[in-house]
Order: sequence, then C-alpha cells, then structure tokens
Amino acid sequence: MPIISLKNVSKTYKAQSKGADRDGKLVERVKKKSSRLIEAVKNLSFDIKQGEFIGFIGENGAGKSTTIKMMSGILYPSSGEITCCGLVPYKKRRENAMNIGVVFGQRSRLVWELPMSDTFALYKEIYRIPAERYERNVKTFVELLEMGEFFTTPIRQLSLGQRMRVEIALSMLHDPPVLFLDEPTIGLDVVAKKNIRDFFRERNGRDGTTIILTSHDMKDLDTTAKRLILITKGEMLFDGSAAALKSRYGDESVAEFTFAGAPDKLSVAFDPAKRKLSDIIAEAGSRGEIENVEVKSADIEDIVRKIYNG
Amino acid sequence: MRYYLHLGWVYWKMHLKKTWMFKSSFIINRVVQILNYFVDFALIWIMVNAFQALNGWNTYEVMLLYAMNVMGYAIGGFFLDRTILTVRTDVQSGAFDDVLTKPVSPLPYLCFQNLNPNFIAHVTLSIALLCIGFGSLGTYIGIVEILKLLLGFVCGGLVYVGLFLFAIGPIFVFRKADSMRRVLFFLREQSMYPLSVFPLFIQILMTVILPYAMIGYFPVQSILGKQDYLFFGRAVLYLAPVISLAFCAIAVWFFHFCLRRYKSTGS
Repeated sequence: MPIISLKNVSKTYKAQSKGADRDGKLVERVKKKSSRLIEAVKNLSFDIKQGEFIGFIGENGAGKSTTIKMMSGILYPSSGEITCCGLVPYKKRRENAMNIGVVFGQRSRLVWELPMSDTFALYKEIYRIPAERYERNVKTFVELLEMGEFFTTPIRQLSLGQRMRVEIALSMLHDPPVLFLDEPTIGLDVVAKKNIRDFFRERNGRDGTTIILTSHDMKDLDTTAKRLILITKGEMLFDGSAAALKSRYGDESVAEFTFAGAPDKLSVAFDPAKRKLSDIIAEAGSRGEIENVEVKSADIEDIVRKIYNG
Repeated sequence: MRYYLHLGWVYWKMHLKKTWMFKSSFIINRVVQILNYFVDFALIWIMVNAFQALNGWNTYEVMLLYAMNVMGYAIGGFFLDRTILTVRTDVQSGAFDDVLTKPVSPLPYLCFQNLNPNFIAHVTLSIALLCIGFGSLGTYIGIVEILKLLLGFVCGGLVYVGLFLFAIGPIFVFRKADSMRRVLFFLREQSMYPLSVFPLFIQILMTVILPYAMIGYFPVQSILGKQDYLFFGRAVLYLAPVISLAFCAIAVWFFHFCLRRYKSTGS
C-alpha cells in the first residue's frame, strides 16, 4: 500500500489580470480587471511507497511547491484525491501533521532572538513528544548535524547553513514517517549542501523515512533520490530512476580535446550507445597531436536543461 | 482547551525571555503605555466636565459606557490584536503555511500564540472607571449587579472577538485587507455614547448587525435601570448574550470559511 497517493489531482487558481485597450496599451486611468484561471497542477497521479526517496523536479512555477502543499494539507486540491499515511491531508490536517515533517528552505520557523533549544522545547509541546523520546532525538540530531557548538547561540547569530540544520532537525523531532523538503539547500555553500545530503541519505537508509525533495540543484537529486518525478507546467513529464531519465532523454557525453601548441579546445558531444569513444579520438587525432582528452558524462542537470529548452 | 492554554503559557514564557533580552526597549514601551493611559484618562475627565447630559445620560453614566467598551476591547485585543498583525504579515510572506503544517486548530493556536498582555492595563483602567462611575452615581452594587456586569464583560468580549475575526478572515482570501478592520471598528468610538442619541438605522445597525450596543449600552442600562429601550423594547436586555454569542459564532464560521480559501504564496 502506498504511503502517499495522488489520483488525478488538479489545482486551479483564479488570478486577476489587468485589461488592455484595443491598441494593446494598458488602460491607466480605468484599470479594467478580469480574472483568469491558472492551472498550477493538472491531473497529476502517482504513488509513493514507504521508504522511497523522491526527487521532485521542475522549473520555477512548474507546480512542485503547490503539489507539496496539497500533500502536506496546506492547500485543498481543486479536484482529485490525495492520501498521505492513509489520511486525506486537507480534511484531516491535524492528524496528518503528526505524520509529516516539512521544511521550506526559503522560510524560517525559528525564534530569532532565542537559541535553538527554546524552539525545540516549544515543538516538544506542540507535537506532544514524550520527554524520553524528545531527549533522545535532540541528542541524535545535535550529533548527526554537528550542532553542539552553537546549541546555546541565539538563532539570529547563526549562519544560513547552521539555521537550515536546525530547521531540518526541528522537522524531524516528532519522528514523522514522511518528510517534505522544499528547496532545503537553497543558498548554502557546497560543504553545507553535502553535509545535508549525507544526512538525508542516512535518515532514509536507516529509518526508512520517506523523503520528497524538491531542489533546483540537480546534484542534490543526483546523489540522493532513487526516483525522480519531473513536472512541467503542472503536468507530469517523467517518473522513474535517474538512469531511465538519462536513457529516455539522451545520455549525451562530451569529449574535450586539447591539442599540442593550440590554445583552443575541441568539444565533441556524442551518444556512447551510438558512437565509440575510440572512433572520436581517431577522428580528432587527424586534426593534430592530442595532448589531453577529458570525457564528461551527462548528468541530470544537463538532461533537465535539455528538456526545459525543448 | 488545556493543550492551548499550556501552549499559551509556553509562548508567554518565550515572549518574556525575548522581551528581557531587550530591557531598554521593554522599559521605553512600558513608559509610553503609561503615558497613553494617562492621556486616555485625561480625555475622559475633559469629556465628563464638558457635557452635562446626553439624552438623559449624565457624564458618569457615559463614563460607564466608556469603561465597558474598554473592557470588551481588552478581552478581544488580549487574544486577537496581535493575531491580526501576525496573520497579515505571515499570509503576505507565505509563512502562514507553517501554522497549517502543525497538529493544531489554527484559531485557538493563533489566539494563544499571540496573547497580548498589554491589554491587562486596559482591564485595570476599565475597573477603575467603573468604580469611579458607580461610586459617583451612588449605585447599589449587589450580587445581581456584579453578575450583570460580568455578563456584560462576556458580551463585550464576544462582540470584539467577533469583530476581530471578521477583520482577519478576508486576509486569507485577499492577502491584503487592512480596510476591513477600519470598516468594522469605525463605530467603536460612537458606541461609547448612549445609543438613544443616534438615528434609528444606526440603532438597528449597532444592535443586530455590528452589535456594539451589547458591549456597554444594554449592560449599563440594565444595571442602572434606565428605561430608554428604544425600538427593541425591554426584551433586548435578555437577548444581549444571545445576540453577542450568535455574532461571535458567525464570525468563527466566517474565519474558517475564509481560511479554507487560503492560497499560500509561491516559494
């Protein structure tokens, strides 16, 4: 039985748009307004099994955050059915909240003036976490996310990376079986990103926490998610593994040649399934003495960029 | 409810801790608040001395109307004055999503998260004015009068809670709905005068649509035994708790109706 299930889910917004006169100029004095419907999510269906690590991909405005907000009970879908841990999230929002942890990378829930320990203590009361479990979880997360050195520092004095670690610990304090992570690594440096990715992988592997992660940094997804769901303009474009994505949309590699005595490099894109690297090297050799050759395989970012660009 | 009271206590302790970190700001705020009340009190004295009688209501009776109004506003403001600011800021920024991902009912959670203890000073002011007013009038205050007064406080609190909720609801739908508070509260100052001085349509408006008359006019009228029942007759005195409760219940329903239409913001 899936832990999360979406069946034909759509979300439509009514948006106000300013009218224009016959010449196409904006009517400045009398601003005629008309409403138009925006379909943020269109007929989306998928199931997620317990313990899966899902990478949710899409360009800005693709409908990723809207879908996450519907799955977490923040928004009502316009049509379709959603269940999370056997509950309809927007109808049983309070019960559903006990089963989920949510991190919005661009918003903070921390009490700015006080140390993290105060926000943790507040969440202990909100989620009615038994004292023993609370102590154990705080100890575990402080160790795993290396937060000991700033445990008693007011939040306002922490770096972005440190604050994000606190946010992540906060979302997992009540041991939710499902974790929604909306851009949790945004604005972080490479070291902080890697530490957070490692933490997610560890939690997913050890506890079987189901993780749904959205990120514009494809490395986040390439190194963590076992399954990718790609949506564009609210519709699903792909659902499968990274390998399947590469095979469907072209696993293009690039060979980059440096020639002796020549300042310019030669880049040759090729599909390893169709052309042998040895043939390409032989062909490039006819142009001059090869000093170095570097071959780069396509990563998810290249493929997604290719899909977005049509 | 015990759960939300407990959360309120936890938030209150955090608020004190935060406040204590900025001691100078705390002290300045308290000085400003005391000055505010001093000015309020001075204005009442001016009012008391400027008017001799308003449609049969003398100055001390008008002071009682003011005192009841302050008490009702204090009860509503204690729970919802800070809430309206929090909701407005959080809905516009999208931070309100956080409330909906917690295992709480939004309305009691918001009330107890944003308790505003500054309104305790309003309660003190109201009680002081009531003592002065009833004392000067020589009104007998027995058990029945105290119960009527307490019921008046409850009615006033319910009406103000309702007014705040009607002002908060549209924020969920339109994100920016500052004018709602101004529209709903525009009769607040008028409600500090006897209802009988206003034209009939204002009397009806303030009795059944925006029932400001339940806050001060009818409770004080009942205690003082005044006879100007207006268009509605004596029955309105007994209906005041029902009208206040119904107004607040409709406001609660309206709050949830609007909340279901919350659209969040882009990330």
